[in-house]
Amino acid sequence: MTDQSDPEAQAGKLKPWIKPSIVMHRSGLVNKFGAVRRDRWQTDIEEVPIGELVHDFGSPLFVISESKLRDNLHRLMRAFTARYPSVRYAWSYKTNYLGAVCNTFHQEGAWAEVVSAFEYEKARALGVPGEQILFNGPHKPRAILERAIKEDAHIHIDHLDELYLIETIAKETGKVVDVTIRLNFETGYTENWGRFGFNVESGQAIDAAWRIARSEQLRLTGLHSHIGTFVLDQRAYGAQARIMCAFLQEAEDKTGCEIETLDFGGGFASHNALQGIYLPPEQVVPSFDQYAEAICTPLIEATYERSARGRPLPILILETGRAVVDDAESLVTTVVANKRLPDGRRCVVADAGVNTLFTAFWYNHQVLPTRELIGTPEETVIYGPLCMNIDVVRSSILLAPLKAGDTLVISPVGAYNNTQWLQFIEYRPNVVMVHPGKEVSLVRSAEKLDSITAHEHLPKHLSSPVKSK
Amino acid sequence: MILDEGKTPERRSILAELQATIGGVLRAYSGILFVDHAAIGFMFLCATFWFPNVGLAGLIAAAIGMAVGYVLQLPYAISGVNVYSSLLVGLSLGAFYELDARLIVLIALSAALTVLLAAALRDVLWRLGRLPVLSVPFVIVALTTALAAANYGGLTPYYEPAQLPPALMGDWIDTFLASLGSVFFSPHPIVGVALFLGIALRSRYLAFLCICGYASGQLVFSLLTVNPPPGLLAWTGFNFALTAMAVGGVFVVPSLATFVLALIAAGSSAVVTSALGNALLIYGLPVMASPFLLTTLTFLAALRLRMSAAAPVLLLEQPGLPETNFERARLARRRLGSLASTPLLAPFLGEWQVYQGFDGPHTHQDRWRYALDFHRLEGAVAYSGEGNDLEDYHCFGLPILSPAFGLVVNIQDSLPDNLPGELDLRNNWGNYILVQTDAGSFVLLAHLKKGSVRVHPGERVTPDTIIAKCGNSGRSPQPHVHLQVQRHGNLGGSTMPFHLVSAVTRRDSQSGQYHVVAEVDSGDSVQRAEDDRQLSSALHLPVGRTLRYRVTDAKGDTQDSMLRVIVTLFGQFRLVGETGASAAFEHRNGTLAFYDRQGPADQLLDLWLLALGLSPLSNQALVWLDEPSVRLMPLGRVTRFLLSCLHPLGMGIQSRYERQWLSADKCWKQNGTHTIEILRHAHSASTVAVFDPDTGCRELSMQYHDRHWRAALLAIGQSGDRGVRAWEQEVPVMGSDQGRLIGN
Repeated sequence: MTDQSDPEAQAGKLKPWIKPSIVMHRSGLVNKFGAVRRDRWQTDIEEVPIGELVHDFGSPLFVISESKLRDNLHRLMRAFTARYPSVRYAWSYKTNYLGAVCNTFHQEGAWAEVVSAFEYEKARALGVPGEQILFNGPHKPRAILERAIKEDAHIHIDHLDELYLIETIAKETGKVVDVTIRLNFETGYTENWGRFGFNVESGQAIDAAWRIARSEQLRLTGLHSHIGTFVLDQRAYGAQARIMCAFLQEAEDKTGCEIETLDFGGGFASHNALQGIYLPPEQVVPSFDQYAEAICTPLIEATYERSARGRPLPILILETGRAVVDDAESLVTTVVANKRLPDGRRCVVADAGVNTLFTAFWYNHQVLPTRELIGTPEETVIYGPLCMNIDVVRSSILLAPLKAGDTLVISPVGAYNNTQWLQFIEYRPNVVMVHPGKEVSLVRSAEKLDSITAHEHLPKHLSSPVKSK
Repeated sequence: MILDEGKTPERRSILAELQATIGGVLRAYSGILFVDHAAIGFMFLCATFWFPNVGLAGLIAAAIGMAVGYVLQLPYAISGVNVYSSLLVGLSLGAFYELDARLIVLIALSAALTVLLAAALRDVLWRLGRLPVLSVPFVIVALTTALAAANYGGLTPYYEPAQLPPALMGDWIDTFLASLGSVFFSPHPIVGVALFLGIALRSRYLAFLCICGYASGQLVFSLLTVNPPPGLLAWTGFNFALTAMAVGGVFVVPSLATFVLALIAAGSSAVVTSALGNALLIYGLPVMASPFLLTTLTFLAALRLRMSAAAPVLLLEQPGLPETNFERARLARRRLGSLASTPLLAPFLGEWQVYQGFDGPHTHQDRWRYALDFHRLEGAVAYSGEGNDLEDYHCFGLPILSPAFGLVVNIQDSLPDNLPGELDLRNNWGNYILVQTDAGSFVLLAHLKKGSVRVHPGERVTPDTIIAKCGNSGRSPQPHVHLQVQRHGNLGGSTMPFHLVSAVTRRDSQSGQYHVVAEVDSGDSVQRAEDDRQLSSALHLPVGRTLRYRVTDAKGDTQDSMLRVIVTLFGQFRLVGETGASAAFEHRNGTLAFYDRQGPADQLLDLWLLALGLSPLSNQALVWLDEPSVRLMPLGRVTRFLLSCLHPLGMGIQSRYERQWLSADKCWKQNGTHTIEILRHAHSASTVAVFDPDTGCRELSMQYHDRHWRAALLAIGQSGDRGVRAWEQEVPVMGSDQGRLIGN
């Protein structure tokens, strides 16, 4: 995919003409992490030429690799199943809920983790049975809760009002509902996401467990916690495991419940560069094995005695989305124009901006040209197509001169873009998936005018741009 | 278990006690010919009264023996095991002397002595080498009494008719039957017929061995003796038969090897008979059963020390009828692999690859040929990055689990892990754990990570105990774990075959397949089949559980029938039907397995056993094979008889099971197809079991030709206990359409 230029192969060729430019001397081109990677480019995605993809599906274009999706999940599961006997994976819909992506994971045995009525309905529409859905999130309206209870989905309670509502519905339908409560606590390594679930330190969580134990309609069978996002220090998960196991013990001892599942949420970092982080992802992002070791070692220690007593070990649930999907998707964008900014920096305008690539707000994505670029690399700003000042894809990247019509590959973009992208100013583009055997299919077609106006209703007197008399 | 009507079995009534005692005496009669059965014992008792003097003397001795055991509270007093030697002593005295007051005194004393000797010798021989006591006490006491009787002029000799009666069925058969009668000191063909019938009723194979053993001994006798003394065979020939029955049937798993062994043993006993006959003649003593005892005990004691677990396989700890022995061994072999091979679980979590198999090219050779090395590959590579650091290797530092139930014997934990490519040849095994399994063999796990061993010698381990981490110590160029089974507990001793059970294996890029018994080789991927909590709870059978089914038989008649779960004194769970028929079961290591079916025919129990007999409790188990006993097939009488002639030791059904989760009905459906071939004609039946986590097995059905059986769960209950009320709860009929069957 990427290639080194070979100076010897170049030797016999004529030297191409380069447009002269004046570049200020500076000493920042070589840093302690090695030379500037000026001569990398990417010509294909999973052996399908990028030019061909753009020709067939237009630009900008999201390209997903099916085999990478499967491979990532395999690696994650291999890392955990080698360390803990009972592991379940639930695909976090909010990370990327394109049907093709979800079903690829479901085919590999993943359950669905949803956080809204929309996501719940989407999972059911894809054919996921209710009992394989984990229903998270702080907002679950009554109608969808009724459906989830009826379909035996696993509800993760976020607050007491929800607990009461579930109890009421259960009473009305004469059901005993197995529930999970979401916990929040200080790990010492991450900022506490105290707005979700019940706090452990203040005693709120054990109160909730007591409340459930006293209810005839509810049965506490699971604990859930999600300690943060893009957690780079795996020790945080070790702390999470210890705290959750201690709470499990306390809840079982005090309320007599039997916890069947321990849900560790997600938050594993992907190989993307967060803005403001000095070191490159290769050095700071823990591997699946490191995350697994951090979670499973204290988990085994804490539940060791339990297994010796013949009580089943709780099932470890993972909802990590980003680390599994991010590097399986790339965005191909086309240079629309070159400019020189008043401060002397070069900039290019691309046809994809923060509307398409929402994660550009917090990542410095890798941007690679699709051909060998000739010329001296210069600090360049990549802007998107919006007429908004904030539409910056990369605020600073070293790139040799580009021509209008050149394509760039931005990656990894699998997480959160296909869910957080904006229909703002522009249409949202095609998304294709490359299957094993270089077969390509369109998994979401680009929006057209109809896609957006279909939901609009024009009052009669506003049906024309001309005021009627 | 205590029944809910409030009956407590604390004190047995005198009547029950008497019944048990009489049963014990009768079983002592039958036990002499290895057929432990009260009714057949009664038949034998009657046979001994062919010569009333003998019969009565025997009965008196048995009664006294029983009384002594009971009064002195000797172990197994009522079961009759200590009594059959007394009985034989009584019979022997009755055969030599007229029954009068004096003889009764002698009988009483020797019967008492025999019981004591039997209790003592039983213990000594068991400790010595798990050997059975057989009738050793009888021979010792009978010889002693015979020697002593020389001084007692007060006894009146009794003479049984010395000559054989007129030929009944030809010379050979008459002599054979008379010699069988000699076991009870009644050498008459008619007595022999009764005894032989008794044996044949219980076990056709034992009867067959009886004839073959006699023939073998008789052949040796005729070959070596020109003129055998008249009547000698009639008095001693039973020794050959008994030897063959013991060595070829009761204490072994019947096979061709044990059959040949039985013939050799019977032949040898003929030589021993001659030798002892001459030696004892000096003292005027008969040989009685001594050739049988000497030969049998010699064979058993020596074979016990064999260095191989291949046939002939001894069953000294659990002797039984050959049919039972064969059936147990057959089922065990199918489910747990060859008896000569130790069944183990994979010693790790998740999927690993076999790095080196049995007879592997690197080190698994010669005495160490039976060993498996495991590591982890991703895309055919064992490491990520450069592979220069141990941490780069996928398997390094992963948890290692005990592959069996056992006791830690020895450990090493302090040797450093080699850098990749390096070897520590001074400490071949590196850090290791040696575990003695409950089956007696030793399991060695080697090349463990330094400082990772978390068990100590003497500690008990179970298959879910994490005992160490995978490392690279000892003779290990790349991180891996080495697994071998040894007969002895010395480090690196000679290896024995073993195999993995309950595993999901995969070759190349095929999808994983569940195996009850898995044979793996280099390059295969292996993982443990993980126990599924829901499946496990759906088929959980706690003690006291009762399951009431409505059974519809092939004729369309319905009746309610109950299954209940009991636990025996020795800690065995059994599922018991209403007829009293039962089967033992184990629910552990991710499998529910039924075995040791006993008792009369029971439609519901047999249907349950055929449909659910072996049920792996793993979600990864979609298809598996088993070979339940042919008894479970609903065959007609003629077919059944034909089968018992063709396969006297019994045979297995080729059963293939598959299971799927029906998400619409929220239940599992387990289909079984069961095929047997009789004279190239295949008979096949199919079964369906439907079960769910809330109600358990709610429906069973079977189809054989055009006949159909069905059992639908009506109620689940629990037997009561003192202070605990019994309960029963009706099972709601699933769905609105009551007649609908998932099973169809």
